[in-house]
Amino acid sequence: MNKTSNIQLAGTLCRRLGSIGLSLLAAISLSMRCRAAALAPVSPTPMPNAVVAPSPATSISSAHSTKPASTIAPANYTECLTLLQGTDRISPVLVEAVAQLLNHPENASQAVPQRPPSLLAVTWRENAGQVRDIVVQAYYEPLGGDVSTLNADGYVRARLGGELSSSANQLLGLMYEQVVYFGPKNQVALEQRAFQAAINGDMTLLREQTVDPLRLLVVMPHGGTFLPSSLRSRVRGMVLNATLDFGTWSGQIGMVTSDGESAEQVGTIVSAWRDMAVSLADTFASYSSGKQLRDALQASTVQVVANRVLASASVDSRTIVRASKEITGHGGGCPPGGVCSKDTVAVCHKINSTREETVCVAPTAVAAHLAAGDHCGPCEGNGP
Amino acid sequence: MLVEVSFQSGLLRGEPLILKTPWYRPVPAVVIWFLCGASLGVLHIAAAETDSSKQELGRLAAWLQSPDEGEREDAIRELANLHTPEAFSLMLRGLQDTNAAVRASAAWSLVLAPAGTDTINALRNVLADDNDRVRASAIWTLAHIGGKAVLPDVVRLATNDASGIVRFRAVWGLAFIHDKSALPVAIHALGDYNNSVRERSALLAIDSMADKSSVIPLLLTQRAHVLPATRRIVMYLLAKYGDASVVPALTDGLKDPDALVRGEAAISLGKLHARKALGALQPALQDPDDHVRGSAAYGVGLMGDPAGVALLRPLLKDDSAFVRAVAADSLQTLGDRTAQPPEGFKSSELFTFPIFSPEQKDLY
Repeated sequence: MNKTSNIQLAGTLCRRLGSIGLSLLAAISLSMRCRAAALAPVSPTPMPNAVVAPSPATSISSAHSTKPASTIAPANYTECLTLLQGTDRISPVLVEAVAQLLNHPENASQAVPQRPPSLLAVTWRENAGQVRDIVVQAYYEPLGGDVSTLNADGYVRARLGGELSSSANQLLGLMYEQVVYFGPKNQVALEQRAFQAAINGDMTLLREQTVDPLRLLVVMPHGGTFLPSSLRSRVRGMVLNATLDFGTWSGQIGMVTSDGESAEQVGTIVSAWRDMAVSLADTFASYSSGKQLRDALQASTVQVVANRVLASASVDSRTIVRASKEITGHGGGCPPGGVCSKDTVAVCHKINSTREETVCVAPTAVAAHLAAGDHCGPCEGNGP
Repeated sequence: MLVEVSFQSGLLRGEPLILKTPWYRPVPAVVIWFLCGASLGVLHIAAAETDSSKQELGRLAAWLQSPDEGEREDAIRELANLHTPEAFSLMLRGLQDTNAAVRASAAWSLVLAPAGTDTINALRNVLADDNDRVRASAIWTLAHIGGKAVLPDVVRLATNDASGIVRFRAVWGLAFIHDKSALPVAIHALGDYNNSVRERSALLAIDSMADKSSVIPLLLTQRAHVLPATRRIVMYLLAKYGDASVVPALTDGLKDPDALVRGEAAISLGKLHARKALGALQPALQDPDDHVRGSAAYGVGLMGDPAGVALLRPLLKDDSAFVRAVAADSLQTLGDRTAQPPEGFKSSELFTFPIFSPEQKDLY
């Protein structure tokens, strides 16, 4: 395979990324740090209904500068920010704004864990050379517990097989863990709600946010650990770069490997997945979203550039909304067992603003705990 | 004159059959022979099949003893296809396998078995299994084949099992038992903290049992539920099963502390064409939450009252692009075409709660 040859995309990636991943998958673009990736420029997204910026906007006139961000974020975020900073067409001004948000954990949506996040997602809007509505989401490695997020009885799991399903569950399990949000309170509240619904299979609230197009960038410094074994040892970081507008969600996903040879191997594997992804979409061909998904997968591409594999896709957003409903599993609950007995459920109970403890409660009592602001699973670092 | 008609049949395994018949009767003779031959043929095939089934049963029985759990699971699936009492008997043994996947597969596959006492009791025994997939499969099968006799088991797991997967299957199972006495259980499941139980199986179960007179009073008891997601779905169901009598409850819903509940209440008022509630929607059109303003704008459009035009026009200058788009779309619905929603924008694509409605069976 030539170093820059086009291969066809494994749309399976989208599937594996699950509901949020589907949107990410639909859209992702990545490039790696310290690389002058020759990505085709993304055409400007039309603003169907541009608005006056409701929140302070930041100029991105220096969007193509390579000047590093001057704000130093806490060390926990170094890897994520380095990956973010090296991504093509990402303004240093945006990176600077992200670093500033991360420097104020006291303004975060909840207590910030003292360990590096596994995934950092940044959303923002761009209009007339300015960025606004910047929100950062930090996802942390699950502390334990086995959450099956893909419908175990569904076609997707059956067709993907155990390993891919397990990989998808691992990634989606990450999404189900605590998410820490940084950003303007109003915008954070809107996104918290939209992303939580998206994880549970309802993309409509997220789509609501895209009437005014939303940019999404996701970095996973050790993204390879979430991939099936055939890729795990070869892929290091992953970056997803998407533009979500009301009609279409599009972008690129990039996987960084240690060298060009690994990139070619990864590209070949990803390319081979494509047939399986198309076949999977064929399974749903009788569903309203099946044909559109198949067409999107067939039109997608994978490119190997130096030590990177770049996969591009573009999917009608209605199809994503529909497909996410079809593939969603039994998420949204707290898994029983784990640190508690099999008949009870672990809930992290907030005693006050600074103290919390893990409690094991009957399933009928969980709803009241969640409504009171407690969350699923054991509290960080302690058992019942 | 007699005509000699001879037949050669492998089925008879003998000499050619020679019938002597009057010349004018060879055709009936052929028919008689054919019928006899066909019957023998059927018997012959049936006997061959019995031999084959016995062989297959023996092969699968041996396979069930395999140390490989995958092979044992495959054996269970193939046994289910045999549809014989002997095969079902072997499947019951699968319920006691050391491997949970095999037990779950056996429990699931027994849905094809006749509802005998042995099967029901064996499935009941695994309702206490440590593995939730096994319990989920067992309760699902019991609900399918057990009828009203197993309702107490289904209700117990629907309300008390710690696993969402089990409650999901048990609540869905209520839809198959179809006993209206279980309607309160299905309504209670709307308060489950697992969204699949709440927004998939509970909706299906309610849909299978509900009539307006019985469901509305039960729904009203849940409208102050502690979970916002439950209150939201109650708002949705009040419009689905209700009439003008639920308008006060929906109007109260417009004051809910949760934005998604307020939004759903506004949409439900629109669905009921409750024009008298147009005034009540006015505060919702000025709600601080974008989603509520957008939902209220959509509700005003659904109401179909031209008086709504004056309420919607100010929203064309809303800060939120989403609210402006919905307002423009609703104005068009009401016949005011002065504002254009963005190209390709349709409000109806956004207001599709719940994720799974009973009408969308292909999503289950």
